[in-house]
Amino acid sequence: MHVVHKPSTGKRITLAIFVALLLLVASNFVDEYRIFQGAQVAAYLVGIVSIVLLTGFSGQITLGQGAFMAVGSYSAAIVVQEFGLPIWLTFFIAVIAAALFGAIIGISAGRLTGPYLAGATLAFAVGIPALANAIPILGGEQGLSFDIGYAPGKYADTVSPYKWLFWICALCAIIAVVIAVNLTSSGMGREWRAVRAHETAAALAGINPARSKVLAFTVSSGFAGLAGVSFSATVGLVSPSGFTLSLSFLLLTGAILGGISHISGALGGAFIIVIIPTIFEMWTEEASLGVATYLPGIIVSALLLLSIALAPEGPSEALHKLRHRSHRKG
Amino acid sequence: MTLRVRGLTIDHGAIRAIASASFNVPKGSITAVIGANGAGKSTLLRTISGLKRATSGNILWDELAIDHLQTEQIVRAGIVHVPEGRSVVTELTVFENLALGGVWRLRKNKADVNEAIDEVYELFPRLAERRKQRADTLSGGERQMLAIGRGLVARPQLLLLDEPSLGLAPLVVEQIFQTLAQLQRSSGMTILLVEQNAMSALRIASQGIVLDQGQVVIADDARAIMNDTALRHAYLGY
Amino acid sequence: MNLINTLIAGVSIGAIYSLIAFALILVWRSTRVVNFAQAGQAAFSTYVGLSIEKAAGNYWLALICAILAGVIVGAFVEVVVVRFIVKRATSAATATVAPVIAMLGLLGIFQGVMGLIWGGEYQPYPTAFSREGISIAGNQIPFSQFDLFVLLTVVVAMSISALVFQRTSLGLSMRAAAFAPEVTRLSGIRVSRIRTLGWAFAGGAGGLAGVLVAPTTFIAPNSFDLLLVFGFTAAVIGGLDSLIGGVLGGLALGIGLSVVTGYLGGSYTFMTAFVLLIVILLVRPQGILGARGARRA
Repeated sequence: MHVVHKPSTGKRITLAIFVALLLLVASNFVDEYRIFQGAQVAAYLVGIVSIVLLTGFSGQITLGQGAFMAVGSYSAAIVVQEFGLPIWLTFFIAVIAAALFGAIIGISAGRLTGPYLAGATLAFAVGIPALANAIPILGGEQGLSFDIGYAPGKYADTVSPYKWLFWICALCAIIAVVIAVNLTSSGMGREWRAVRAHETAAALAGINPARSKVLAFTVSSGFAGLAGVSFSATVGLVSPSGFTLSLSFLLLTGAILGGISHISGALGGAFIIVIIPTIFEMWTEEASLGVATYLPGIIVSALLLLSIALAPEGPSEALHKLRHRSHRKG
Repeated sequence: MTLRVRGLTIDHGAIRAIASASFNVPKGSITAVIGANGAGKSTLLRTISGLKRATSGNILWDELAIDHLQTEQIVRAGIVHVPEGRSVVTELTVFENLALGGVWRLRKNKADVNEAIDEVYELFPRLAERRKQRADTLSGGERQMLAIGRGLVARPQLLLLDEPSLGLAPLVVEQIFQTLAQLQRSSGMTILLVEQNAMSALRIASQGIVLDQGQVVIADDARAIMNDTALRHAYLGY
Repeated sequence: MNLINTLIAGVSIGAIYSLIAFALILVWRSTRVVNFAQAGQAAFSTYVGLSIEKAAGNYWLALICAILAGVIVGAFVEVVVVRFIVKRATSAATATVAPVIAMLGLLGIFQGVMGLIWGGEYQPYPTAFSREGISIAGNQIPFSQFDLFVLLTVVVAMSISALVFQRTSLGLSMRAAAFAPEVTRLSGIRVSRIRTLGWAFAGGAGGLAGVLVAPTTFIAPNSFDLLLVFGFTAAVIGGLDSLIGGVLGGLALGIGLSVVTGYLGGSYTFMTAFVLLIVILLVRPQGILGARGARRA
């Protein structure tokens, strides 16, 4: 075991404010499209954090995180459309709605393991878009519009919409990461890991595994709800085609590639899944549309497969072990 | 054909299960490997049959080095392992379990496979009565007979038996051991028997090997081991 | 008459669910992996069939090629990917999660490759039979010649598999390897080869299912995702370890969902299947039709 220096909550918040200011300044020196991609990274980052919490810490596999994102997004879009609530409030509503939904699903899913849990969450991911299509209030195939609009007051003219979008998404991501890091280093996070490592042993140590799993599902879904509403803000729309199975897979891929057992891995994962398609867009500008559309997916999937084959616990974990080994030798 | 084990070392992760063991199993003998629980007896058999890889050392089957062969190839070379725990396929019938033992040589000699199955039925008439029943309806003793029977259908030259007495009533154990002795006399097959029940095993064996914490401490005539009171006290606990 | 009509309407789609359940169970039994990539394998095989159909204009040749493509892809997946993953994922924490994620990665690769080769848009798949409901004594029933063909094909395929499993030594080896791989190896059978064959058979069943369902769903790289979920549900109804259970589970699911669709409307179909899946997993994890204690995860 190596001892990790654990910063206090206060230090983390200071660090987070520093990062926020840094991003605020940095966004003035980058072109608009990159800023938009930054917003995408932020949205995916939150989604990946939700998977890391559930799979990495609580040990429950999920193939259907996109479904929880959809629940959050649709809730947000409906309250805007039906009650005209301000946008900032919808972020909270998305989190609460998704978390509630996660609690309900978690109560049943918490008892499933391995391939059964995978199958059930997969069904969920496939089914939610189909369901959204069928319910009239959700706007069918076209979906509902979700526009976070312009920066308030006098900033509306000086701050571009993309910049405004980026700031909001980045703020969400920073808050999410701070909360997630605090949660996982708290007693609750330790309980989750104990249940993941050995359910019976955890139960003998006085932890209620069922409660711990449902709680993990609830918290993770809340994060997914936040990710969903950020994601919808970048698209400007909440529609069934936004929450396909591929989205769930993409996030899971990001989580695995970044390292499923560390919150910090989520940032790397989010970068990878945004950057790979971008690289191909640049390379294949002259080439056919098909290559640009499908090659990134193939590459990302192949990376996922390779990382599982070569390092079943995730590439970051393998690197960590490797470093550890060389330390011991050296 | 003689099995020669030379300097065999086997590890379970960080734990050494067998340390540099050497012994011979002469053709036509019944050799009993005895020792307490955890002495490494099962690991030894699993390594001979290719289910587990040795860390170092050699296993020779006459001229053939079998320590790097696959389990299926070792079966084809005439060495058949009946693992512990009445290892039958509970979802299959008695007949199917026996037939399974002959599938690999079905194309070569189908008639002989059928003959071997009939011989098992003669050896263990209880199996013949239950040939169409699923194996999970059998009693413990019948399952052990079926497990041995499946091994016999392969017509082994060397039969590796792991704890055939485990969890069985003394009367059933006696019956199975007598059948094994009789089988060995009539067929000339070699048997390597791993047992915790040292008395029963040594009674039918010609040679005994005592394992203690992964080391071969004695390899001697079975009768000599039975008569050596000091040795029995030290390693066999009776 | 109305109820009977709804029941009949579910039979042929149920038969297709059965095929997918069969494929999933076959793989689960041999490798203890739920093959989520089956949706991609089946779609790939169906595209191969469609290409042959377009080139040669022969439905039957296309059908056979699709099945063969499924067999080859199934064997390929086992030899190249699965064998490696299963060998590597040995620690308890990764043993259940790693294969699932690997299968997803594979599904992603399949869907991407199909998009590259055949494009992303939905394409129709032809049939050799009329899809008009058959008329009996002046009444048209919701069961076409094509539905009859689907049903008969599945019945024939399942009968052949049953014969192979019950009457041949290959079938004996496959059943033994499913339940007791070590004993099977010790019986001199090459279990790894048996496993490859299991994946190949499953791939063939998936290809057949794809060609049979494609005239209804059309074919696109991800058009079989929902079919996979229904097939998984059917397999779970059957207990995931029993081939017969899975086949009956598929029929029961097809008919059951047809009744739900008929009386409540199409938007409830998926919801019903999902709730059914969850309820069965929670209440009877060994499956409704599976044997007691048959499930060993």
